[in-house]
Formats: sequence, structure tokens, C-alpha cells
Amino acid sequence: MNCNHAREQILLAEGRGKYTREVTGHLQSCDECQRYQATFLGIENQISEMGISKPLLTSAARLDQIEKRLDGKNIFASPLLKFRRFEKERGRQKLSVAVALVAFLFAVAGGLMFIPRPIDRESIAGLRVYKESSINRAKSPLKKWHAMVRLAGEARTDAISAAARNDSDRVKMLADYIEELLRKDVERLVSFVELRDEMLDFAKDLARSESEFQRLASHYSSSPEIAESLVRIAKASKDAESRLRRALQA
Amino acid sequence: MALKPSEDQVAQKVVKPETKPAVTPVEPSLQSLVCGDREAFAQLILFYNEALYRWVARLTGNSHAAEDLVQDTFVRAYQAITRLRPDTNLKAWLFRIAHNAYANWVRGRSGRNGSFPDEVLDRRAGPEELAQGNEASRRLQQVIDKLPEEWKAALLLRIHEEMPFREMAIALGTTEETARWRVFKARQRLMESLEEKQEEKR
Repeated sequence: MNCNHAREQILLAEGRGKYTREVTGHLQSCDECQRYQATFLGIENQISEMGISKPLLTSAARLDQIEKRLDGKNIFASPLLKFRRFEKERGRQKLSVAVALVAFLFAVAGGLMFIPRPIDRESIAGLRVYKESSINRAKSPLKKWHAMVRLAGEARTDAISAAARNDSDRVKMLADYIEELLRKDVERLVSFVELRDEMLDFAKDLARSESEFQRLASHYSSSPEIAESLVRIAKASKDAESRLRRALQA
Repeated sequence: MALKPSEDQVAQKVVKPETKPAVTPVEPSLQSLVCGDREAFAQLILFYNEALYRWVARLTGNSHAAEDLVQDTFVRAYQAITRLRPDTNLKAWLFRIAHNAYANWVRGRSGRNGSFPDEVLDRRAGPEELAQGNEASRRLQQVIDKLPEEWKAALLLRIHEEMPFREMAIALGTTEETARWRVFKARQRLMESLEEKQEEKR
């Protein structure tokens, strides 16, 4: 490597001493190039040490100036550099997020409350709730009556299905439910004179039901529990029919 | 009756340190800047204020012009902040904006002074050091000032900011090789000029 090439490499180097092995080797053997390198590094040192005054504006003042320049909006921090304004803003943002979150949770909870949930009709308590809500939701006595008749029909069908499955517990529970329905709820509604025609129809229906359940009970002689429950349903139907006929006669 | 301050009061007044907030500038994350985080932008100013000023003051040789250009740089940066990409080199990006502002200033100026005015020089040195240093500095300044603008910009980024050529290329809107070549030419011119002056002296 000749001196010109070595000096060129010195000037091309990105950092101090970041030379190739060839240049380093040349420098070790060439006093002239060593002097050249020393002069070069000295000049760069001198330039870097040539102090320059600090900016007229401190960073804080610059923040203020820029804030004013950008349409006079209050954009940046206070000159004390404590970023109070940012902290305030951040605080407000956090509060807004919290408020939005709470509102969202309330909305979700409210929404869930309005979504009709299916009533568990597997228990006697669930059946009672279903019965009360169905009858009470009906506005007029006629609608209440229809609701009661529908519930009695559903319960009877359910009891027949449960008996077919040999589910004695379910049949027993439905017998309890039908007894309650045909005694208490029929009693509640027989006082309405305008339901006369409906009462008559239901009385006929109950008479059919009584004979149907008696016949069904005889088929379940091998399952005394089911047979007993079916007989109870037949008896409840008979009692309700009698009650309705008495009311109609009165 | 005029109240004359006691010696203690005078002493207190002299000794009382100037209260300055102890804030260590930290380079903000790109993500926070792009998201419009104002605190992050304030941090950006704190972090690059002096470096940008130092470079622009050297280039312009005028502290007031440097102030304006740095101010302008940050305002432009704020307006363009949403255009930052995840791979943006923040420092190079800011220096690029400053360089563009400086280029506009160069185009718009008229009758610029040929050397660095004293106002941008640091006067913290003692009288003797200042006299010697000023003489050497003055010579160097004259040489630097005669360099083409692009060479000078590259050289000062290399010396003051120790900016790698790759970063410098972004800052100056050129290629890495061109940035390297400009620094090389500036260094070469400095060496030649100073050698000539030394020979003249002899």
C-alpha cells in the first residue's frame, strides 16, 4: 500500500481508528502517514471542541414557543417540565376510560336483565314460576283463563310422556303441579261470569282428561308410583270439572 | 428609609442556586409519537433540542437563524408525526427536516456573512485560552465556511453527532456512498487548506 492510498483510507474511515489491516500495517511502518493521521485527528478534535453557545431558548421555552406557534393551542408541557398539563390530560383520559367502562358494564348488565331467560321447568318451583308468570302476564281474565288451560294441557301431555319414559319422579311432580293448577288457579278464575263459555269447554275437556288418565293408570299397574300419580291427575281433573260445573250452575 | 440588605441576605442571594428542574431527556418511542402522545413529543424536543441547534448553528453561523430553524424543524416534525413508520430512524428523520429547513434558509438568504459570527461561539474559556483558541478556531472556521454546503453539513454531522454514514444518508437525503464521499472531500479540503496555511506561515 502506498502513502496516497493509505491517506485516502484514513479520510474515508467512518470512525477513528476504524482502518483496514493494510492501512494499520502501513501506519506502523510510515512516519509521514503517522504525522498525517495525527494532524487529521487533531483537526477533527479541534472542530469538535470548538464550543458553541447553548441555544438561546431552553427546551422548556422552546416547548412554549412551539405551543404558541401551532395555532395557539395548548399542546405541550408547562415550562417547569413537570408535564402537569399532560398529567391532567392523562388523568382526564383515564377518568373517561373508567366512566366509559362502567357505562359499558351497566349497559351489558341491563341488556342481560332484559333478555328473557328460559325458566327451568324441571322442578316444581320452576313450574310454579312459569305458571305464575304465564297467568299474571295475561292482561284480561279471558287471557288468564286461556293461559291456565294451555298450562294444564302442556302439563298433561308432559305427564303422559314422562309415564311413557317410566320417569316416576317426573310424573309425580307433574301430578302435584296439575293438582295445584286445577284447584287453586281454577278457583281464582271461576268467579268471572264472562268466562262461562270457556268454563264449559274446559269442564268437558277435564271430563275427557279424567277418563283418559284413569285408563292410562290401569296400563301402568306394574309401576305403582306412576299409576298412583296418574290417578291423582285424573282425580284432580274430576274435582276441577265438578267445581266448574257447580260454578256454572250457580 | 431605604432598606439596605444585610450581609447575610446578600450572601444568601449570591449563594442561592438557580433552581432548575432535574429532567433527564429520554428519546421517546416511535409508537407513542405516532399515537399523538404530546408528552412523547415534548420528550423529543428535550432530547434533540441541543444537538439540532448545535448543527444548525454551525451551518448558519447565526444563532438567531439557528433558533428559528430549530423551531421550524420541530413544528414541521409535529405536523408530519403521523407519517412516521415503524422503521423510521428518528434522529435521521429530524435532522433531515432540519436540513430541508436549512436548505430553504440558504436559498432565501441574501448577503450572508462569510464567517461564523462570535455569537455562536462558546465563551466559557479563560482570556488566554480564548485568544489562542479563537485564533485556531477562526482559521478552522474560515476553512469550514468555505466548504460547499453539502460537504459542510456532512462533515459536521460526522464530527459533532458521530453520525454513521448510513444515518447521515437519510438525514441528507442521499445515498450512503455519497454521504461518505462528501465527508471525505470535506476532510481532504480541510487538510489541504491547513497545509497551505502552514506553508504560507513558513
